[in-house]
Amino acid sequence: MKVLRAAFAQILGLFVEDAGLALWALLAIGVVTLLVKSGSLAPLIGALGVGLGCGLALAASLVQATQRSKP
Amino acid sequence: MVSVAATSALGAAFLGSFVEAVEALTIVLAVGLSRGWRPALTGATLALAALAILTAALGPLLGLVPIALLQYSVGALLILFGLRWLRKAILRAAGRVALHDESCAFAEEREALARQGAERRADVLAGLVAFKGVLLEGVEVVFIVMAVGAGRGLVGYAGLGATAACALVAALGLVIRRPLASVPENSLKFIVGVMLTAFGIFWIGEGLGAAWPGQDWAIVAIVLAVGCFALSAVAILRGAVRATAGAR
Repeated sequence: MKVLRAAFAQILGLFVEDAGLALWALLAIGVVTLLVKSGSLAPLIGALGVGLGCGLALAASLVQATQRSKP
Repeated sequence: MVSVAATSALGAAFLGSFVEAVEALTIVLAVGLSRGWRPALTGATLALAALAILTAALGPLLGLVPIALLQYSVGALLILFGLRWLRKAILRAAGRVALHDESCAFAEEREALARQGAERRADVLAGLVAFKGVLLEGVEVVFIVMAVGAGRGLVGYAGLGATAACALVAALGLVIRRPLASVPENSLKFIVGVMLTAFGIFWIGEGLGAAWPGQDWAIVAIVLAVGCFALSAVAILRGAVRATAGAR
């Protein structure tokens, strides 16, 4: 069980370092997908929206990290 | 003629795998030089065998997944993976986080191994360190290859890039037998972070059914856009660091 938990943590660690960044990026992807699938948004605009959403999430994560760590 | 997507997949897989291979080599060298080459090479070989089994088992499963779903899910994972690398590379480039130092990692690993006793159990533990290091970095290489290649059947090109990178690092390791400290790891991570994030956005778009203007050439435009964003972030954060230092 311990080994499985460690393996899961390692795999999760491949994708997630800042949980906030991962959550906001997934939220952007999820919202855009819902809008595209419901026909409210064109797929191309949706893809650009994902890019924009991820950019905003990254910017917010960087600001947070900067505030936490003093150079 | 090789397409833009194939060239980008090959390049992203080469650079990403190069960084991971350098990290794996540092661990294997630390084990080899402090506990002997037998546990180091045994651990590394077993890890490579485990990776081969993993890839052989999972590879054919990819063919069963509908292409749009594969592009969408791989795109989402690539975005998470790419953003993680990009965030770290931006913070390092802006001087907010210390740069990764292979010499330092090598020294720490050797020191930890030297603290172990001289008995047989210590060799097993050293072999496990090499196994774990190669396996973890190798899983990242396999993921990069699958992720940048699977969306368009370019796993062969991505695999070629990764194999070339691993072979190059192994050859360099054999020749110099020291950690590759002069590799500009942060710059490589920055470039790979940009490329993986751009690939992720492209695949998500493909998975959602977007018709990208310029088709595959859109990848280049997305790479440029993400790159400009990341470089601007570094410049802004560096400016903030200077302003803070000036105010003191």
